[in-house]
Amino acid sequence: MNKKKWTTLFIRYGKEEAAEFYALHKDQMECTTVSGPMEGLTMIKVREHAQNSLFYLGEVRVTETKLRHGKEIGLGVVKGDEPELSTALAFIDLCFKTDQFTDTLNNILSDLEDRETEAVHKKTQEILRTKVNFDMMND
Amino acid sequence: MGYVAVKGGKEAIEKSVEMYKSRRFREGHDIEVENIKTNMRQLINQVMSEASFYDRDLCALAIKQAEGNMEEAVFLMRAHRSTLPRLYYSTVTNTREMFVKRRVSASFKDIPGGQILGASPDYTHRLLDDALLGLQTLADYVTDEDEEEIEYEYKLDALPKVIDYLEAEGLYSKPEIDDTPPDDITKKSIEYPSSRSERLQSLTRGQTGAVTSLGYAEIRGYGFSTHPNIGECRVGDQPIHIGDMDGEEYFIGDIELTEIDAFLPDEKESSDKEDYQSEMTFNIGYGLTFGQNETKAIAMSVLDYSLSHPVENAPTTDDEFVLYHIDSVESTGFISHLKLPHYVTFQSKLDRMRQSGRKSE
Repeated sequence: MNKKKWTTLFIRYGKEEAAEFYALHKDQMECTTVSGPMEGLTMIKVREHAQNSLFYLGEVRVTETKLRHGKEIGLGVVKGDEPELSTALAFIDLCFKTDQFTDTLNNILSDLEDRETEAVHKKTQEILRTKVNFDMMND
Repeated sequence: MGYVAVKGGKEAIEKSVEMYKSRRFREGHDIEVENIKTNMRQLINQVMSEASFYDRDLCALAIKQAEGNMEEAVFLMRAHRSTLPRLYYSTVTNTREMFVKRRVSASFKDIPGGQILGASPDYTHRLLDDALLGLQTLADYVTDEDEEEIEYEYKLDALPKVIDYLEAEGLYSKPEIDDTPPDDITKKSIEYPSSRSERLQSLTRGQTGAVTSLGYAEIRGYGFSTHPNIGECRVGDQPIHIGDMDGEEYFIGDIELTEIDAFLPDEKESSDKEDYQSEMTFNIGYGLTFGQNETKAIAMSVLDYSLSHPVENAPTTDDEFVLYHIDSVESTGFISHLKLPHYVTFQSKLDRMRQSGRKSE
Protein backbone atom coordinates (compact mmCIF):
# COMPACT_ATOMS: atom_id res chain seq x y z
CA MET A 1 0.00 0.00 0.00
CA ASN A 2 1.43 3.40 -0.92
CA LYS A 3 1.83 6.29 1.48
CA LYS A 4 -1.05 8.27 0.00
CA LYS A 5 -3.41 5.42 0.81
CA TRP A 6 -2.25 4.50 4.30
CA THR A 7 -2.11 8.11 5.46
CA THR A 8 -5.67 8.56 4.13
CA LEU A 9 -6.92 5.50 6.00
CA PHE A 10 -5.33 6.41 9.32
CA ILE A 11 -6.26 10.09 9.19
CA ARG A 12 -9.85 9.61 8.04
CA TYR A 13 -10.81 6.38 9.76
CA GLY A 14 -8.11 5.20 12.16
CA LYS A 15 -6.98 7.90 14.57
CA GLU A 16 -7.51 5.63 17.56
CA GLU A 17 -5.86 2.67 15.85
CA ALA A 18 -2.80 4.79 15.00
CA ALA A 19 -2.52 5.98 18.61
CA GLU A 20 -2.96 2.43 19.96
CA PHE A 21 -0.35 1.04 17.57
CA TYR A 22 2.13 3.72 18.65
CA ALA A 23 1.45 3.12 22.35
CA LEU A 24 1.97 -0.63 21.97
CA HIS A 25 5.12 -0.52 19.83
CA LYS A 26 7.00 2.66 20.73
CA ASP A 27 9.17 0.86 23.30
CA GLN A 28 10.06 -1.87 20.83
CA MET A 29 11.80 0.40 18.33
CA GLU A 30 14.31 2.93 19.49
CA CYS A 31 13.67 6.29 17.94
CA THR A 32 14.52 9.89 18.71
CA THR A 33 12.51 13.01 18.09
CA VAL A 34 13.92 15.20 15.34
CA SER A 35 11.24 17.86 15.69
CA GLY A 36 7.74 18.42 16.93
CA PRO A 37 4.98 17.94 17.41
CA MET A 38 4.84 21.48 16.10
CA GLU A 39 2.15 23.63 14.53
CA GLY A 40 2.62 25.10 11.11
CA LEU A 41 0.91 25.89 7.85
CA THR A 42 0.45 24.23 4.50
CA MET A 43 -0.32 26.50 1.57
CA ILE A 44 -2.85 24.94 -0.78
CA LYS A 45 -2.06 25.09 -4.47
CA VAL A 46 -5.05 24.60 -6.77
CA ARG A 47 -5.59 24.16 -10.48
CA GLU A 48 -8.66 26.12 -11.55
CA HIS A 49 -10.89 25.11 -14.47
CA ALA A 50 -11.35 28.35 -16.37
CA GLN A 51 -7.76 28.73 -17.63
CA ASN A 52 -6.26 25.52 -16.22
CA SER A 53 -3.76 27.68 -14.33
CA LEU A 54 -2.49 27.44 -10.76
CA PHE A 55 -3.20 29.68 -7.79
CA TYR A 56 -2.89 29.65 -4.02
CA LEU A 57 -6.19 29.18 -2.21
CA GLY A 58 -5.01 29.80 1.36
CA GLU A 59 -3.39 27.98 4.24
CA VAL A 60 -4.46 25.16 6.51
CA ARG A 61 -3.10 24.58 10.01
CA VAL A 62 -1.13 21.36 10.36
CA THR A 63 0.77 19.53 13.08
CA GLU A 64 4.10 18.02 12.10
CA THR A 65 6.33 15.50 13.88
CA LYS A 66 9.61 13.95 12.70
CA LEU A 67 11.13 10.88 14.34
CA ARG A 68 14.47 9.23 13.55
CA HIS A 69 15.55 5.59 13.69
CA GLY A 70 19.08 5.05 12.41
CA LYS A 71 19.35 6.92 9.14
CA GLU A 72 15.64 6.94 8.45
CA ILE A 73 13.27 9.76 9.32
CA GLY A 74 9.57 9.16 9.80
CA LEU A 75 7.18 12.00 9.00
CA GLY A 76 3.81 12.71 10.57
CA VAL A 77 1.76 15.60 9.17
CA VAL A 78 -1.95 16.09 9.71
CA LYS A 79 -4.49 18.90 9.44
CA GLY A 80 -5.37 20.67 12.68
CA ASP A 81 -4.05 20.47 16.22
CA GLU A 82 -3.20 16.76 16.41
CA PRO A 83 0.04 16.20 18.35
CA GLU A 84 -0.72 12.55 19.24
CA LEU A 85 -1.80 11.57 15.75
CA SER A 86 1.13 13.29 14.04
CA THR A 87 3.54 11.48 16.38
CA ALA A 88 1.84 8.14 15.72
CA LEU A 89 1.96 8.78 11.95
CA ALA A 90 5.66 9.62 12.11
CA PHE A 91 6.27 6.36 13.98
CA ILE A 92 4.20 4.37 11.47
CA ASP A 93 6.11 6.00 8.58
CA LEU A 94 9.32 4.93 10.27
CA CYS A 95 8.00 1.37 10.67
CA PHE A 96 7.24 1.14 6.94
CA LYS A 97 10.64 2.59 6.03
CA THR A 98 12.53 0.17 8.28
CA ASP A 99 10.20 -2.75 7.55
CA GLN A 100 9.17 -3.31 11.16
CA PHE A 101 5.74 -4.43 12.42
CA THR A 102 4.45 -4.19 8.85
CA ASP A 103 2.30 -7.32 9.14
CA THR A 104 0.49 -5.78 12.10
CA LEU A 105 0.12 -2.49 10.25
CA ASN A 106 -1.21 -4.18 7.12
CA ASN A 107 -3.80 -6.02 9.22
CA ILE A 108 -4.93 -2.76 10.78
CA LEU A 109 -5.07 -1.10 7.36
CA SER A 110 -7.09 -3.96 5.95
CA ASP A 111 -9.69 -3.40 8.69
CA LEU A 112 -9.63 0.32 8.00
CA GLU A 113 -10.29 -0.32 4.31
CA ASP A 114 -13.46 -2.17 5.33
CA ARG A 115 -14.41 0.73 7.56
CA GLU A 116 -13.78 3.14 4.67
CA THR A 117 -16.04 1.15 2.35
CA GLU A 118 -18.82 1.17 4.93
CA ALA A 119 -18.43 4.86 5.78
CA VAL A 120 -18.33 6.01 2.15
CA HIS A 121 -21.37 3.91 1.33
CA LYS A 122 -23.33 5.33 4.27
CA LYS A 123 -22.33 8.91 3.46
CA THR A 124 -23.11 8.45 -0.24
CA GLN A 125 -26.56 7.05 0.50
CA GLU A 126 -27.33 9.91 2.87
CA ILE A 127 -26.27 12.55 0.33
CA LEU A 128 -28.00 10.90 -2.62
CA ARG A 129 -31.32 11.05 -0.75
CA THR A 130 -31.17 14.76 -1.58
CA LYS A 131 -30.76 14.09 -5.30
CA VAL A 132 -33.61 15.58 -7.34
CA ASN A 133 -35.81 13.10 -9.14
CA PHE A 134 -37.42 15.15 -11.90
CA ASP A 135 -39.74 12.29 -12.87
CA MET A 136 -41.23 12.37 -9.42
CA MET A 137 -41.72 16.14 -9.66
CA ASN A 138 -44.00 15.57 -12.69
CA ASP A 139 -46.24 13.09 -10.86
CA MET B 1 3.20 65.97 9.07
CA GLY B 2 4.90 64.06 11.84
CA TYR B 3 3.23 62.16 14.63
CA VAL B 4 3.59 63.26 18.25
CA ALA B 5 3.58 60.62 20.96
CA VAL B 6 1.34 61.42 23.91
CA LYS B 7 0.92 59.83 27.32
CA GLY B 8 -2.16 59.30 29.38
CA GLY B 9 -5.22 57.14 29.44
CA LYS B 10 -3.47 53.96 30.61
CA GLU B 11 -5.92 53.29 33.43
CA ALA B 12 -8.89 54.17 31.25
CA ILE B 13 -7.67 51.72 28.62
CA GLU B 14 -7.24 48.94 31.19
CA LYS B 15 -10.76 49.51 32.46
CA SER B 16 -12.13 49.61 28.92
CA VAL B 17 -10.53 46.22 28.14
CA GLU B 18 -11.88 44.85 31.42
CA MET B 19 -15.37 46.08 30.58
CA TYR B 20 -15.16 44.60 27.05
CA LYS B 21 -13.92 41.19 28.19
CA SER B 22 -16.35 40.88 31.11
CA ARG B 23 -19.45 41.94 29.19
CA ARG B 24 -20.48 38.43 28.23
CA PHE B 25 -20.59 37.35 31.87
CA ARG B 26 -22.60 40.37 32.94
CA GLU B 27 -25.19 39.87 30.23
CA GLY B 28 -25.57 36.10 30.30
CA HIS B 29 -23.44 33.01 30.59
CA ASP B 30 -20.28 31.87 28.89
CA ILE B 31 -20.42 29.35 26.07
CA GLU B 32 -17.93 26.68 25.05
CA VAL B 33 -15.92 27.06 21.86
CA GLU B 34 -17.18 23.62 20.82
CA ASN B 35 -20.74 25.01 20.76
CA ILE B 36 -19.69 27.75 18.35
CA LYS B 37 -17.90 25.17 16.21
CA THR B 38 -20.97 23.00 15.80
CA ASN B 39 -23.73 25.63 15.80
CA MET B 40 -22.13 28.51 13.89
CA ARG B 41 -20.78 26.58 10.90
CA GLN B 42 -21.59 29.26 8.34
CA LEU B 43 -20.03 32.01 10.41
CA ILE B 44 -16.90 29.89 10.73
CA ASN B 45 -16.94 29.32 6.96
CA GLN B 46 -16.97 33.06 6.31
CA VAL B 47 -14.22 33.82 8.80
CA MET B 48 -11.98 31.02 7.50
CA SER B 49 -12.49 32.20 3.95
CA GLU B 50 -11.75 35.85 4.68
CA ALA B 51 -8.81 34.96 6.92
CA SER B 52 -7.46 32.67 4.19
CA PHE B 53 -6.68 30.29 7.04
CA TYR B 54 -8.48 26.96 7.38
CA ASP B 55 -8.93 25.76 10.93
CA ARG B 56 -12.38 25.34 12.47
CA ASP B 57 -11.13 25.17 16.06
CA LEU B 58 -9.15 28.40 15.90
CA CYS B 59 -11.95 30.12 14.01
CA ALA B 60 -14.48 29.20 16.69
CA LEU B 61 -12.10 30.58 19.30
CA ALA B 62 -11.61 33.79 17.30
CA ILE B 63 -15.37 34.24 16.98
CA LYS B 64 -15.86 33.83 20.72
CA GLN B 65 -13.03 36.23 21.51
CA ALA B 66 -14.42 38.77 19.01
CA GLU B 67 -17.97 38.41 20.39
CA GLY B 68 -19.09 37.42 16.90
CA ASN B 69 -17.60 40.50 15.24
CA MET B 70 -16.56 39.24 11.80
CA GLU B 71 -13.86 41.78 11.06
CA GLU B 72 -12.29 41.30 14.47
CA ALA B 73 -12.39 37.49 14.17
CA VAL B 74 -10.74 37.66 10.73
CA PHE B 75 -8.10 40.01 12.13
CA LEU B 76 -7.38 37.59 14.99
CA MET B 77 -7.05 34.68 12.57
CA ARG B 78 -4.75 36.59 10.24
CA ALA B 79 -2.64 37.68 13.21
CA HIS B 80 -2.36 34.11 14.51
CA ARG B 81 -1.56 32.83 11.05
CA SER B 82 1.37 35.24 10.88
CA THR B 83 2.92 33.57 13.95
CA LEU B 84 3.08 30.12 12.34
CA PRO B 85 5.79 28.87 9.99
CA ARG B 86 4.78 27.69 6.54
CA LEU B 87 6.02 24.11 6.51
CA TYR B 88 4.62 22.83 3.23
CA TYR B 89 2.99 23.62 -0.09
CA SER B 90 0.39 21.13 -1.17
CA THR B 91 0.72 19.15 -4.35
CA VAL B 92 -1.56 20.49 -7.08
CA THR B 93 -5.09 20.13 -5.75
CA ASN B 94 -7.57 18.83 -8.30
CA THR B 95 -11.16 19.64 -7.34
CA ARG B 96 -12.41 16.78 -9.50
CA GLU B 97 -11.39 14.59 -6.56
CA MET B 98 -13.69 16.47 -4.18
CA PHE B 99 -16.17 14.26 -2.32
CA VAL B 100 -19.30 16.12 -3.37
CA LYS B 101 -21.90 16.83 -0.68
CA ARG B 102 -23.93 19.26 -2.74
CA ARG B 103 -23.95 19.96 -6.45
CA VAL B 104 -26.46 21.92 -8.50
CA SER B 105 -26.49 23.37 -11.98
CA ALA B 106 -28.61 26.36 -12.96
CA SER B 107 -27.83 25.77 -16.63
CA PHE B 108 -28.84 22.16 -17.23
CA LYS B 109 -31.62 20.17 -15.62
CA ASP B 110 -30.18 16.78 -16.44
CA ILE B 111 -26.50 16.58 -15.62
CA PRO B 112 -24.48 13.39 -15.31
CA GLY B 113 -24.69 12.37 -11.67
CA GLY B 114 -27.76 14.53 -11.12
CA GLN B 115 -28.69 17.60 -9.11
CA ILE B 116 -27.74 16.88 -5.51
CA LEU B 117 -29.20 19.42 -3.10
CA GLY B 118 -27.20 18.40 -0.03
CA ALA B 119 -27.48 20.64 3.03
CA SER B 120 -28.60 24.17 2.15
CA PRO B 121 -30.86 26.91 3.52
CA ASP B 122 -32.05 27.58 -0.07
CA TYR B 123 -35.13 25.40 0.31
CA THR B 124 -36.25 26.57 3.74
CA HIS B 125 -38.89 29.14 4.67
CA ARG B 126 -37.37 32.40 5.86
CA LEU B 127 -39.53 32.47 8.93
CA LEU B 128 -38.11 32.54 12.43
CA ASP B 129 -38.33 29.08 13.97
CA ASP B 130 -39.78 29.32 17.49
CA ALA B 131 -38.77 25.75 18.17
CA LEU B 132 -35.15 26.89 18.30
CA LEU B 133 -35.88 28.99 21.38
CA GLY B 134 -35.51 25.73 23.26
CA LEU B 135 -32.85 23.08 22.83
CA GLN B 136 -33.45 20.57 20.05
CA THR B 137 -32.05 17.12 19.42
CA LEU B 138 -31.04 15.28 16.26
CA ALA B 139 -34.21 13.20 16.50
CA ASP B 140 -36.28 16.36 16.05
CA TYR B 141 -34.93 16.79 12.53
CA VAL B 142 -33.94 13.39 11.19
CA THR B 143 -36.38 10.74 10.04
CA ASP B 144 -35.03 7.34 10.89
CA GLU B 145 -36.92 5.32 8.34
CA ASP B 146 -35.60 2.15 6.80
CA GLU B 147 -35.05 3.62 3.35
CA GLU B 148 -34.33 1.85 0.11
CA GLU B 149 -30.81 1.51 -1.25
CA ILE B 150 -30.12 4.13 -3.93
CA GLU B 151 -28.35 2.96 -7.06
CA TYR B 152 -25.81 5.34 -8.55
CA GLU B 153 -23.64 5.59 -11.62
CA TYR B 154 -20.90 7.90 -10.37
CA LYS B 155 -19.04 7.88 -7.10
CA LEU B 156 -19.33 11.20 -5.30
CA ASP B 157 -15.57 11.74 -5.50
CA ALA B 158 -15.57 11.17 -9.25
CA LEU B 159 -18.57 13.13 -10.55
CA PRO B 160 -18.13 14.48 -14.08
CA LYS B 161 -17.97 18.25 -14.40
CA VAL B 162 -20.71 20.08 -16.24
CA ILE B 163 -18.08 21.79 -18.42
CA ASP B 164 -17.20 18.33 -19.77
CA TYR B 165 -20.70 18.28 -21.26
CA LEU B 166 -20.20 21.69 -22.90
CA GLU B 167 -16.86 20.56 -24.25
CA ALA B 168 -18.42 17.43 -25.73
CA GLU B 169 -20.99 19.67 -27.45
CA GLY B 170 -18.17 21.75 -28.94
CA LEU B 171 -19.32 24.86 -27.07
CA TYR B 172 -16.26 25.12 -24.89
CA SER B 173 -12.60 24.35 -25.45
CA LYS B 174 -10.60 23.35 -22.43
CA PRO B 175 -7.45 25.50 -22.24
CA GLU B 176 -4.00 23.95 -22.27
CA ILE B 177 -2.55 23.07 -18.88
CA ASP B 178 -0.70 26.12 -17.55
CA ASP B 179 1.96 25.21 -14.99
CA THR B 180 3.27 28.74 -14.49
CA PRO B 181 4.20 28.96 -10.78
CA PRO B 182 1.54 31.09 -9.07
CA ASP B 183 2.29 34.41 -7.40
CA ASP B 184 1.66 34.53 -3.68
CA ILE B 185 0.16 37.78 -2.36
CA THR B 186 1.06 36.81 1.22
CA LYS B 187 4.72 36.97 0.24
CA LYS B 188 4.73 39.82 -2.25
CA SER B 189 2.24 42.65 -2.69
CA ILE B 190 0.11 42.64 -5.82
CA GLU B 191 1.60 44.48 -8.77
CA TYR B 192 -0.72 46.02 -11.36
CA PRO B 193 -1.73 44.90 -13.85
CA SER B 194 -2.25 41.83 -11.67
CA SER B 195 -1.59 38.25 -12.66
CA ARG B 196 -4.44 35.77 -12.75
CA SER B 197 -3.08 33.90 -9.71
CA GLU B 198 -2.92 37.16 -7.74
CA ARG B 199 -6.52 37.97 -8.67
CA LEU B 200 -7.87 34.56 -7.67
CA GLN B 201 -5.97 34.49 -4.37
CA SER B 202 -7.13 38.00 -3.56
CA LEU B 203 -10.77 37.30 -4.49
CA THR B 204 -11.03 34.09 -2.48
CA ARG B 205 -9.84 35.86 0.68
CA GLY B 206 -11.90 38.97 0.00
CA GLN B 207 -14.53 40.21 2.43
CA THR B 208 -17.75 38.34 1.66
CA GLY B 209 -19.91 41.47 1.54
CA ALA B 210 -17.44 43.42 -0.59
CA VAL B 211 -16.95 40.62 -3.11
CA THR B 212 -20.71 40.07 -3.32
CA SER B 213 -21.49 43.78 -3.74
CA LEU B 214 -18.92 44.29 -6.48
CA GLY B 215 -20.04 41.12 -8.26
CA TYR B 216 -23.60 42.45 -8.14
CA ALA B 217 -22.52 45.86 -9.43
CA GLU B 218 -20.69 44.14 -12.28
CA ILE B 219 -23.83 42.35 -13.43
CA ARG B 220 -25.99 45.47 -13.00
CA GLY B 221 -24.01 47.40 -15.55
CA TYR B 222 -20.80 48.75 -14.09
CA GLY B 223 -18.79 46.27 -16.15
CA PHE B 224 -19.52 43.91 -19.00
CA SER B 225 -23.11 43.63 -17.76
CA THR B 226 -23.85 40.07 -18.71
CA HIS B 227 -25.97 37.69 -16.73
CA PRO B 228 -23.83 34.68 -15.92
CA ASN B 229 -25.26 31.19 -15.83
CA ILE B 230 -24.05 28.97 -13.03
CA GLY B 231 -22.90 25.86 -14.80
CA GLU B 232 -22.06 24.12 -11.60
CA CYS B 233 -22.05 24.88 -7.89
CA ARG B 234 -20.25 22.25 -5.85
CA VAL B 235 -19.72 21.93 -2.12
CA GLY B 236 -17.65 19.07 -0.85
CA ASP B 237 -14.70 17.69 1.03
CA GLN B 238 -11.43 18.12 -0.82
CA PRO B 239 -8.48 15.84 -0.01
CA ILE B 240 -5.20 17.73 0.44
CA HIS B 241 -1.81 16.14 -0.14
CA ILE B 242 1.78 17.20 0.28
CA GLY B 243 4.88 15.69 -1.26
CA ASP B 244 7.04 14.22 1.49
CA MET B 245 10.85 14.13 1.60
CA ASP B 246 10.87 10.94 -0.48
CA GLY B 247 8.69 12.50 -3.17
CA GLU B 248 5.65 10.40 -2.27
CA GLU B 249 2.18 11.87 -1.93
CA TYR B 250 1.07 12.20 1.69
CA PHE B 251 -2.56 12.83 2.65
CA ILE B 252 -2.92 15.44 5.41
CA GLY B 253 -6.71 15.78 5.62
CA ASP B 254 -9.89 17.03 3.95
CA ILE B 255 -11.12 20.60 3.78
CA GLU B 256 -14.59 21.78 2.81
CA LEU B 257 -14.71 23.91 -0.35
CA THR B 258 -17.29 25.63 -2.54
CA GLU B 259 -16.55 25.71 -6.25
CA ILE B 260 -18.36 27.65 -8.97
CA ASP B 261 -18.09 27.39 -12.73
CA ALA B 262 -20.04 30.32 -14.19
CA PHE B 263 -20.75 30.28 -17.91
CA LEU B 264 -20.45 33.59 -19.72
CA PRO B 265 -21.27 33.80 -23.41
CA ASP B 266 -18.60 35.24 -25.64
CA GLU B 267 -18.31 36.02 -29.33
CA LYS B 268 -15.22 35.23 -31.30
CA GLU B 269 -14.43 35.54 -34.94
CA SER B 270 -15.10 32.47 -36.99
CA SER B 271 -12.06 30.39 -37.83
CA ASP B 272 -13.47 30.13 -41.34
CA LYS B 273 -12.02 33.18 -43.15
CA GLU B 274 -14.91 33.32 -45.59
CA ASP B 275 -17.48 33.11 -42.87
CA TYR B 276 -17.98 36.65 -41.63
CA GLN B 277 -20.30 35.51 -38.88
CA SER B 278 -18.90 35.43 -35.38
CA GLU B 279 -19.11 32.23 -33.37
CA MET B 280 -20.83 32.08 -30.02
CA THR B 281 -18.77 30.32 -27.42
CA PHE B 282 -18.54 30.16 -23.64
CA ASN B 283 -16.00 31.44 -21.19
CA ILE B 284 -15.77 30.30 -17.61
CA GLY B 285 -15.67 32.54 -14.56
CA TYR B 286 -14.18 30.64 -11.65
CA GLY B 287 -14.90 30.80 -7.93
CA LEU B 288 -13.42 28.71 -5.12
CA THR B 289 -13.66 29.39 -1.40
CA PHE B 290 -12.95 27.70 1.91
CA GLY B 291 -16.13 26.29 3.50
CA GLN B 292 -19.68 26.54 2.20
CA ASN B 293 -19.73 30.12 0.89
CA GLU B 294 -21.89 29.90 -2.21
CA THR B 295 -22.84 33.55 -2.67
CA LYS B 296 -19.25 34.68 -2.30
CA ALA B 297 -17.97 31.97 -4.65
CA ILE B 298 -20.51 32.99 -7.30
CA ALA B 299 -19.54 36.66 -6.97
CA MET B 300 -15.89 35.62 -7.17
CA SER B 301 -16.57 33.83 -10.46
CA VAL B 302 -18.24 36.97 -11.85
CA LEU B 303 -15.31 39.17 -10.81
CA ASP B 304 -12.78 36.62 -12.05
CA TYR B 305 -14.29 36.95 -15.50
CA SER B 306 -14.71 40.71 -15.40
CA LEU B 307 -11.15 41.36 -14.25
CA SER B 308 -9.91 39.24 -17.13
CA HIS B 309 -12.06 41.24 -19.61
CA PRO B 310 -11.55 44.90 -18.73
CA VAL B 311 -13.97 47.51 -20.06
CA GLU B 312 -12.91 51.16 -20.19
CA ASN B 313 -14.19 53.26 -17.26
CA ALA B 314 -15.88 50.26 -15.64
CA PRO B 315 -14.81 50.12 -11.97
CA THR B 316 -15.65 46.45 -11.49
CA THR B 317 -13.28 45.44 -14.28
CA ASP B 318 -10.46 47.52 -12.83
CA ASP B 319 -8.21 45.14 -10.90
CA GLU B 320 -6.62 47.89 -8.83
CA PHE B 321 -10.03 49.21 -7.74
CA VAL B 322 -11.46 45.78 -6.91
CA LEU B 323 -8.49 44.01 -5.35
CA TYR B 324 -7.33 46.96 -3.23
CA HIS B 325 -10.70 47.34 -1.57
CA ILE B 326 -12.05 43.84 -0.91
CA ASP B 327 -9.58 42.72 1.73
CA SER B 328 -11.26 42.64 5.14
CA VAL B 329 -8.25 43.52 7.25
CA GLU B 330 -7.07 46.27 4.91
CA SER B 331 -10.45 47.96 4.50
CA THR B 332 -11.85 47.58 8.02
CA GLY B 333 -8.44 48.38 9.46
CA PHE B 334 -8.24 51.66 7.59
CA ILE B 335 -11.84 52.70 8.18
CA SER B 336 -11.79 51.83 11.88
CA HIS B 337 -8.47 53.60 12.46
CA LEU B 338 -10.28 56.86 11.73
CA LYS B 339 -11.77 56.78 15.23
CA LEU B 340 -8.31 56.65 16.82
CA PRO B 341 -6.73 59.93 17.98
CA HIS B 342 -5.85 62.27 15.10
CA TYR B 343 -5.47 65.27 17.39
CA VAL B 344 -2.40 66.72 15.71
CA THR B 345 -3.59 66.37 12.12
CA PHE B 346 -6.99 67.81 12.98
CA GLN B 347 -5.51 70.71 14.98
CA SER B 348 -3.32 71.47 12.00
CA LYS B 349 -6.40 71.66 9.75
CA LEU B 350 -8.16 73.85 12.29
CA ASP B 351 -5.17 76.21 12.47
CA ARG B 352 -5.13 76.57 8.69
CA MET B 353 -8.87 77.31 8.65
CA ARG B 354 -8.52 79.89 11.43
CA GLN B 355 -5.64 81.58 9.62
CA SER B 356 -7.49 81.69 6.32
CA GLY B 357 -10.53 83.08 8.19
CA ARG B 358 -8.46 85.89 9.71
CA LYS B 359 -6.99 86.79 6.30
CA SER B 360 -10.40 87.11 4.74
CA GLU B 361 -11.59 89.54 7.46
